[in-house]
Amino acid sequence: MALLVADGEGTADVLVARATPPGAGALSIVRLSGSPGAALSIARAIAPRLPARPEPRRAYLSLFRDETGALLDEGLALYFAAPRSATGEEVVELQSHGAPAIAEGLVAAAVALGARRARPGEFTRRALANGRVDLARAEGIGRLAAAASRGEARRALGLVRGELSERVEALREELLSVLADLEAPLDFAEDVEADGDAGALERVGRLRGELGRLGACVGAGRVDAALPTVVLVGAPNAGKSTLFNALVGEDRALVTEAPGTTRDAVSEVVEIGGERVRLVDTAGLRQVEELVERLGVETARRAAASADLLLLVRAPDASPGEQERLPEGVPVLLVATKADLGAACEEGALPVSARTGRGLETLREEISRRLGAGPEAGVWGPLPRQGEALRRAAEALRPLGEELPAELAAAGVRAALHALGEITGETATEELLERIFERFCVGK
Amino acid sequence: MRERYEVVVVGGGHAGAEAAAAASRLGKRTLLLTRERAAIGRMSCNPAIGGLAKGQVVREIDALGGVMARVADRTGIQFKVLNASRGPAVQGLRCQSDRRAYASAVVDHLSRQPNLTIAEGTAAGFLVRGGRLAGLRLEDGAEILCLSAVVTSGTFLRGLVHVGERREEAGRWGEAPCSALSEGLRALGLRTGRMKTGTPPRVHGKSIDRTKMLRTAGDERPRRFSLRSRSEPFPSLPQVDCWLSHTNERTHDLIRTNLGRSPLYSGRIEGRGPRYCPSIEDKVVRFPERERHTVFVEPEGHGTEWTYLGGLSMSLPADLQVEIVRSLPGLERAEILRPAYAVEYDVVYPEQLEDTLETRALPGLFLAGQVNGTSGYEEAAGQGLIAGANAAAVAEGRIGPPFTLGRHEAYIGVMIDDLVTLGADEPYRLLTSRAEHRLLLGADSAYARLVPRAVSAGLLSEGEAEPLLEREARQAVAREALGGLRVVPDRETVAALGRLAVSLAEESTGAGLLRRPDSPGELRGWLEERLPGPLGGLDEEEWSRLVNDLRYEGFLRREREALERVRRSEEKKIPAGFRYAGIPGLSAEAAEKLERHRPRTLGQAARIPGVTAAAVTLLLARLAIRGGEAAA
Repeated sequence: MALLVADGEGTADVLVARATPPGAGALSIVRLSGSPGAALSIARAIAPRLPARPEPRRAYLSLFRDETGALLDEGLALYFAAPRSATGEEVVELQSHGAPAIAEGLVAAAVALGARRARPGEFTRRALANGRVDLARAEGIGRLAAAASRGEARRALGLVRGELSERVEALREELLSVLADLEAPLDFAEDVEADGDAGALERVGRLRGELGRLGACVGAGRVDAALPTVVLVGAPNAGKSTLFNALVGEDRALVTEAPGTTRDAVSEVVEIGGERVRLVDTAGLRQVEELVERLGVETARRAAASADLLLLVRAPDASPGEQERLPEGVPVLLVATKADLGAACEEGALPVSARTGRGLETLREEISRRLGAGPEAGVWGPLPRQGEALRRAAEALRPLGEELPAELAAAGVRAALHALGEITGETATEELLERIFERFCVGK
Repeated sequence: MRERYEVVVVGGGHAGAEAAAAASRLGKRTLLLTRERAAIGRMSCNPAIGGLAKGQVVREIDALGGVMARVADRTGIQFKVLNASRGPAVQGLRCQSDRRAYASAVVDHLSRQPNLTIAEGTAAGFLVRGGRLAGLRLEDGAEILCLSAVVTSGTFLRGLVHVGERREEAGRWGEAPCSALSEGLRALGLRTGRMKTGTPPRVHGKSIDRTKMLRTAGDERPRRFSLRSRSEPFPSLPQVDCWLSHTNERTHDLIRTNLGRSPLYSGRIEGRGPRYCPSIEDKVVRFPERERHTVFVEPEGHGTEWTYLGGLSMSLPADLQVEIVRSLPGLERAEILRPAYAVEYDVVYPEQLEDTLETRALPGLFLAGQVNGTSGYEEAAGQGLIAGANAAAVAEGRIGPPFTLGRHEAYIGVMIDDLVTLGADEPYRLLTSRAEHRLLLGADSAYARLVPRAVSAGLLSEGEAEPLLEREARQAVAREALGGLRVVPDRETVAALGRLAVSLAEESTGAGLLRRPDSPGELRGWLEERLPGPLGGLDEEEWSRLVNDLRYEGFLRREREALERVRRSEEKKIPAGFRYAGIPGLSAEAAEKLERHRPRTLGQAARIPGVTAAAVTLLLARLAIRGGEAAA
């Protein structure tokens, strides 16, 4: 909830801002939003061909003029009536040619005519306040605007379209129905045959699993520090840095022929399979005597232990018996480098050649597949706050077993519903009662 | 002549009785104004007190020095803990009452109350001076001056009784309604609505064949509602059985083919009825797959043959009711003494009230009970007590803080918060599921929760509170002693416990043994031998509470932690004169709802239907900005 701030000074009712990214483009959109009549009157002063009672969602071709009547451009004006607009208010969009000066001219004209420049997120907040979007969608809009990769944009769009909301809503529905089964005999002991709870608790187990999986999909909207991390490990001179550079696409890591050249973990954010991934190159995982290199090795161990995926890099000429000490519990993908040298590839390893580029695309796909959490991934991505709420919901259901008394089980389900309500921003009591009265014939 | 009182309570039902008792206990010269002295404490519907969530309220009333629990104990003819197989938080004590004995015990209680006068009369309007309540105008033109008043009009405001096509202006069977008072409330600018409730037929006990019904007895060892009346013999009246019958296909056919004669379905009744207390017409229509519905056959007391048919409320014509009742096993020859009927009445939408139950429209005027859109004796009584206490505080000159209870403190708090925050568009009944912290609101903790509040408000004297607080102290001492009692698996101990079917593999404590879900009742004797001081002399209820508190310890702790987490923002105050209009970004709908309900805290604001999470965030931000200024 902390994502919202109150308006500071000024009570100007009509907001105006450029809706397309700054900089030059083919076209740019300036958006006005305000109470019915207010946004339109400013827009009509700029785009005189816009009629007094425009047809919603129709594009009107018009000259655009500033507040003094000076010509700015010719473009399209689109009118959206409240509440069926992006913000739930009256909205007019002015589409002009893409030159930044034109867009700025339009905004300045609107301000001169009484509008106020919108601060970041303010349009979304009005949409939220008007019930046009729920919290999850609103956050999606924020993310979409700031998406740095195709995958992120896709998932943010998922949020905007309400995919997360729909999933969470479906889960809430089911939890509510479980809760009704648990609660009805509690509140109506005399009327309801106490048959409900056993099946209800079984369903809780399934829902907990589903919540856990959703929560685990956190990753989409991660901030950089929390991006999925792929760490290259392997013996010195196995070709880690070469592979790293091939994946990054530039000579980022220092490559020499001497083993143990990479002293530090080197990291770079790359896009793999449409996702942003932090790729980390490390010093060779070998017991080394030289003090200088020791520091690099320690860094490598730490990086490897917190990785989402390890690329265990082996050269065909690696001496047998060389032990890699890998952290436990981190998935490993075995990569055989220097495939162009013609040596036989180890079984189960993915042969790549950084020099010729062979196998790199397959490797990228494999990394992307391993990082994804099954079919859920890529559809939409819970943001950290939402992932947190999903995890808390799953956690609240954790102690619920067959033998738990219904009122305690109900307390757990309520806590889970409360956590989910933080995603969509709702409360459950009245819905619960609706459900009980719908399904159970209660009352003496 | 104009009489003068400090507090006047209009109505002598369950709300009125508690309001009058509370105000007079607080030392205010109080008048209880009733249409009919004999109607004080009358049970309009079922002859029973308590039940799920309601039993907890009765205990809360007792902890707050009220009347209902003690009267119920004195006049109960069958006591039963509902949900006995479940945890303590959701158990509810319920009793069948001797209807006549109950009413006369209420009158008896009130007539001994110092500072309280009972008079007959009908209120018709309000005297207003300087924007405040100054007194009441009666139907006969007389005026009574007062500093505050509590109106508990029940179903009497423009009451309309329906039996089939027959309609009669009445607040209860055979009792004239009050219509002038309804107008008087509207004249103050209060918005009123229409609700409906119903009551089942009463039949003659001698016309019932009990061999065809299922007997249900009370608990073998009945528990009392009131721990304040522990010196009195209990149960004081002989205990009786109740009986179960049920509807069948023939009953349902009769109802289905005659639905057109039910004013509920012909559209003659406009008021909204309670969902949880549906009429038999409703049950048959809404749950067509059900082959039968249970009917509770309950005696109305000693020295009377009147018998109540719980579950069979309806508004069908009287002739049809005979056929319907007689289609039930055991009731083939039943003689109906009074037909079932529905009653419609005016309510005042409760979001117009403060959480003291004072109307915002007229300072000094309080409303309590069914007039606020609730149903149930216990709900009415709980409101009456709060309204009475606050009416006394107003009469005192509003020197002290108002007496209100939070949602985390009492079911009464949950109810009043629901009413004033959400409003009511159907008769409101308390349910344990309405309380977000249900585990903390069990009947056994009512005294711990509320006695200190009652003492500081003056509702209980130190002397009355002492034995109750002593009980709480005994619990703490026993808990501590059990936690400190080491139980070592030496041969002797293992053998002794083995005889009680208690295994002991490693060292434990007394508390540890009791915490096991399968620990046998016999363990109590063994532990008592070791801890005669702390455990000796605990009564049965104290012992079971001790065991329950140990077993539920983890859950209770989690619940308390959860409560603490939400309380801070929940209890964030919204200043009284806060203006919602003009908050940038706040939708007109949300602003209008907030303006109408005038929540006192952010938590209340969030619960108002139509106020979105986003609106609450905007409010929070606005309040944070204002926080810098000296808050009013």
